[in-house]
Amino acid sequence: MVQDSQGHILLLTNHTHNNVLTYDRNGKLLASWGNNFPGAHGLTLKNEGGEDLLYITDTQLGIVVKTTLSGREILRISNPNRRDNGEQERPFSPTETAIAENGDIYIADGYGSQYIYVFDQQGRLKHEFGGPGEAADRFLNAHGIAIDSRNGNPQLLITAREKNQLKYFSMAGKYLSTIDLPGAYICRPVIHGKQVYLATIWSGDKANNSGFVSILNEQNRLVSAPGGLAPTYTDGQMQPIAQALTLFRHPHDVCVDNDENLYVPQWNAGRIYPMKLHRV
Amino acid sequence: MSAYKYTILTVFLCSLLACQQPVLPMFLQASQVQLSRPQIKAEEVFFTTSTRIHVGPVHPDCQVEVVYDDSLMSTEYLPVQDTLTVHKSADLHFISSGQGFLSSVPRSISLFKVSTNQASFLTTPIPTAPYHLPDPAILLDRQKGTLDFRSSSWLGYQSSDLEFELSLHENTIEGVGISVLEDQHSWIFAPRELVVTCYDSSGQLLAEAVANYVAEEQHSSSTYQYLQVAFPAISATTIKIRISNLEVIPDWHPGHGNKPWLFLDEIFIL
Repeated sequence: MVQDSQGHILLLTNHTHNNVLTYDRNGKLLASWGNNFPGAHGLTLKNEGGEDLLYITDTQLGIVVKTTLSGREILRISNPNRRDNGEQERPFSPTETAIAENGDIYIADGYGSQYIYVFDQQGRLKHEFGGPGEAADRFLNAHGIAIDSRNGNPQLLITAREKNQLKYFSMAGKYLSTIDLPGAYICRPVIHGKQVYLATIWSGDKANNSGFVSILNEQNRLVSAPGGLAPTYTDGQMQPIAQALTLFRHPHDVCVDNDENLYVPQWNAGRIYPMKLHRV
Repeated sequence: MSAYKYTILTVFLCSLLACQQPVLPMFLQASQVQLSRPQIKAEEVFFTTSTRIHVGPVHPDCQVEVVYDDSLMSTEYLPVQDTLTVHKSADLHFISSGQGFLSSVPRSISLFKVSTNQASFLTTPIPTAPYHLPDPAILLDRQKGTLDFRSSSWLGYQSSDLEFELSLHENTIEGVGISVLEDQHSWIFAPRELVVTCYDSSGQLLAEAVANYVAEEQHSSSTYQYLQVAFPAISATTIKIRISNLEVIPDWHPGHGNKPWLFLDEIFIL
């Protein structure tokens, strides 16, 4: 879910009658399009040359598609067909993208190979990093990716959901550091102002309907968890967190509008509309 | 401070202009929101003397209530983050409540005071790959597995009937139980029947008991299930345990017609 430069809220769904729904901030439906993305998963908006453009990942088709706001396809990226030491071709089930200022397209293959693929703006593979595993520079469900420029030095902030971690990498793909969020099965990081917002799809023992929203401050400490327990730290280490209120079922993304309200779309939640949290 | 100013301004304008109250969104009320189940952790599920339950934090200023064995008459309130000591087998149900929220649904746990009687396997069925790797001794280690069936706490079987034969190191036995997983999304079903037979050293049958479970009934969540049988205290040297699984996955399931899995993490002697 993203907000465009006109203030409209765009919701991506995997329903092939309306893959993209456009709302005003009060939830009034303004437009809809798209019937070709049965596995629509990740939606990123990038303003390029004054025009808002969308990057949609489809985990079922194994593609990333760049479109205009009205749905005209501009670019399509498919499986880069990489192999490891003569093994079978890696799967490709991309979950999210992040777009650099130079136009490079970072694709998190979160439901597939666990690699981060970097393509140029023409869709040519430049390099890759990550991959599956327990090591600090590896992922178990690289579900989301964002570019963190809060300190003026752009770095990649990437989700390792099954590890309950966020990981910093340089834009060139060098591992830098890890943020531990024990008990929080986080989706993609959404950076707005000085905060990082994360839909947290499960928590605690990963039971169904145990999600909430996580909000990190400028120091990347969890300072608020709407629907979750109050965050606590002991000796600088975050203590395991769990859901406190059944506000949410399976939060899958967060959109922060230009008035700091939050919109929380959910997966496997009985097809309910996204929930809106008003700024107070 | 700015919020305070905004509040005052609104009151002022409304009284001055005699306007209607500003239209606010229809916010969700606490009375419409249910608290989440409290987090609890048992030091031991299978214990010989006593075990302790640690209760995790809940929503601020809310409390945890525990109910024993479904008895609504024996409600006992516990402060948040307290520890509860249990000395006998029990089913406990923990609920969080308070602050005008709807009380949570219960988080339940079954605890078993087991015999100190040690047992060892004479025969065991062969588990099914890829869930065949743990040593069968894990089934007698009194350790409870997590809900993750891929962990080393579980052995997986894709057979209709399993038969274990155990030798008892001491003779007195009052019952036998099995701990299984029910995770129907993953094609894992609880067994439909447990049959336990006890023998003396000459091979003479001393007792037989049966426990049944409606395994084909649909359950959406992943849970532990326990089947157990009880006898009057008898002196036995060997026991045979037969576990009968469903022949095929029921019709309502996407995997209907295929063989279900059975995951076992403990056999316990009472």
